[in-house]
Amino acid sequence: MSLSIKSVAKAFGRYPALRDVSLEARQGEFLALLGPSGSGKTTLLRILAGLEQADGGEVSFQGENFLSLPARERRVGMVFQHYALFRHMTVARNVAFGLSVRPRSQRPPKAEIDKRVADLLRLVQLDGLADRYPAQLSGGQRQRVALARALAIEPRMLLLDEPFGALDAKVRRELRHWLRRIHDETGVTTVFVTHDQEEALDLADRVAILSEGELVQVGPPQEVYERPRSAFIFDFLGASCRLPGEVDGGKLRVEGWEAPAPEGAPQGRVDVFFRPHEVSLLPPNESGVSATVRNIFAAGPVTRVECAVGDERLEIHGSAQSLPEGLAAGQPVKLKLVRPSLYPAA
Amino acid sequence: MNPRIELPGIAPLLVLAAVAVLTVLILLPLGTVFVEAFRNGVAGYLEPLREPDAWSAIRLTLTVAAISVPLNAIFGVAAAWAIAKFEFKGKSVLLALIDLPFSVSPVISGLVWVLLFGAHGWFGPQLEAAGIKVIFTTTGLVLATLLVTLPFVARELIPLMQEQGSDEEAAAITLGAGGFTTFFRVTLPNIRWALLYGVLLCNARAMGEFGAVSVVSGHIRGLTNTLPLHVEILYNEYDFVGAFATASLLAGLGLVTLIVKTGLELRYAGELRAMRRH
Repeated sequence: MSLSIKSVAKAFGRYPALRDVSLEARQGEFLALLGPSGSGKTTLLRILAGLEQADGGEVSFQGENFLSLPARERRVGMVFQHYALFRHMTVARNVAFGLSVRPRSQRPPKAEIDKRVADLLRLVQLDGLADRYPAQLSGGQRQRVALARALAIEPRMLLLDEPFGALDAKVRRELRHWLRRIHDETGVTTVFVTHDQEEALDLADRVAILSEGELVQVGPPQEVYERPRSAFIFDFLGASCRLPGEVDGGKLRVEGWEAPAPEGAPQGRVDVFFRPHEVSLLPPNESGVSATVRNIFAAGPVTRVECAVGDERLEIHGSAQSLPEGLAAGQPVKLKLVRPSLYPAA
Repeated sequence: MNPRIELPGIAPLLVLAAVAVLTVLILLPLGTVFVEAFRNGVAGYLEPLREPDAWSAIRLTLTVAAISVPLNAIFGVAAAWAIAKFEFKGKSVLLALIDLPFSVSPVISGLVWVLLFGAHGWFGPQLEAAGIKVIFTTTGLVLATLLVTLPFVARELIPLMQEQGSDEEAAAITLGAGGFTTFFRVTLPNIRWALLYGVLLCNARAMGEFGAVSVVSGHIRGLTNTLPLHVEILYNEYDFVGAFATASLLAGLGLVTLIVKTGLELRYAGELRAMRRH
């Protein structure tokens, strides 16, 4: 393992930010730390960078004890949410900074630094903007300068703290794929912090989910998305529907509908979770959970159907083709849950 | 840029009021200084400034400022750096202490030194035995000036540095920069204009301070008389032209400070805007 985090803990005053977090990453892996704000993901990243001290635990990188190494000697490239570009320096001098502050004996000659800067600016598609100041760039451009600056020191690991958090949705999506390409080209181990589950699932080799300072699940995006280990994770990973149910022996009962319970289901009262698109709307004579259509929103690529099940309100997503013909508000329907996840009732 | 708000009817009134206040409170007194100074013509204006006592007052004022302004600039940067970039216990106490000289009368800022180092002060006898004199010397004047001008640089820098946060420093450190490199290549350039402004204000006050300096000076002509004290002495001796001529030097200093500041702002307007927008 390239990066190994063992039982790391950190508290700010009496508020615990990280509790017993253990995590590993392979050489060249793209790892996403995903969690809501306050989950400790940024704290963990800053501990990796050496900008925060861990209260306990171990971090080793390529066999080296990282925690005893000062930040400036770790050679990690860090990219900050608000860019943190040196505002009084041009783009070129920003990118050159890491090389130009090296001790004289290790500093490359000026011509070489200039060449490296030009190469990096080409890599991040900003050649031609070398003499601009950060304030003269757009948000997306600034973040690309920040990445070039981090890459300039040939980092052993790249740490990104919500790098696209301050950008608008379209730029975010563009930069996301671009970042993945850069990662694949450079092959540097990357840890990426985000609170945007779509970004994490889309981008990372593995996703580590944090909640209230604890690591609650780690795995490849598809595994994490399809088998969330708790109701919190299920809900956090995307739009979700919840219905109360009961498991008795091998049977799952939801609002009068009965089906065989999935393997390993908890017994007793349960919360039944499913994605809005993982449910079929059937005519009322079929078997399924009884529901009444309240509203239909058909504009856009996805048709949203608002249904009432008992006292619960659900929003079901489907394509126009997948819905029964002539569906209208007020009609009774049956819901067939394709792949429900069951968690003990909260 | 904020959208312009039109206030029909009120705007001219506000402008008129502002002009009236400025005229009565600033332009009129400032004008008086120069008119009175030149009452006996240019020769009459220059005569009191040729006095050896006037010269020694100018020299002393410059000396005191030359010592206390750099010291307070260093203290101000250090204090602002600590307050803006770090969390520590007693931060609010430090902030309050920095503000203290603003909130107490300058006379107190002078008197405390007399109480500490004067002949009947806490440490007076010991110092006298050791042959060290503080009160009625340049040392005393510097101490009093240091205390009075303590907040100027720090107060100018703290809000700016707080707004800038410490991300840039963090970035510099992860890129391999040491503490000194980070300070001189990242922190200092980011605050240079505010620092310069703070130093100018600090300098203006250091040269113009009256109350605190008056207490520790002893008004010994040619020895411990600074420019503001010299003005008072001349005035009390009914030498009005002399008093106003000397005062015009201080007023001129204020004007030069303002012109330098405005000039710098114009010269570096683009850069300043770029730093703020970022």
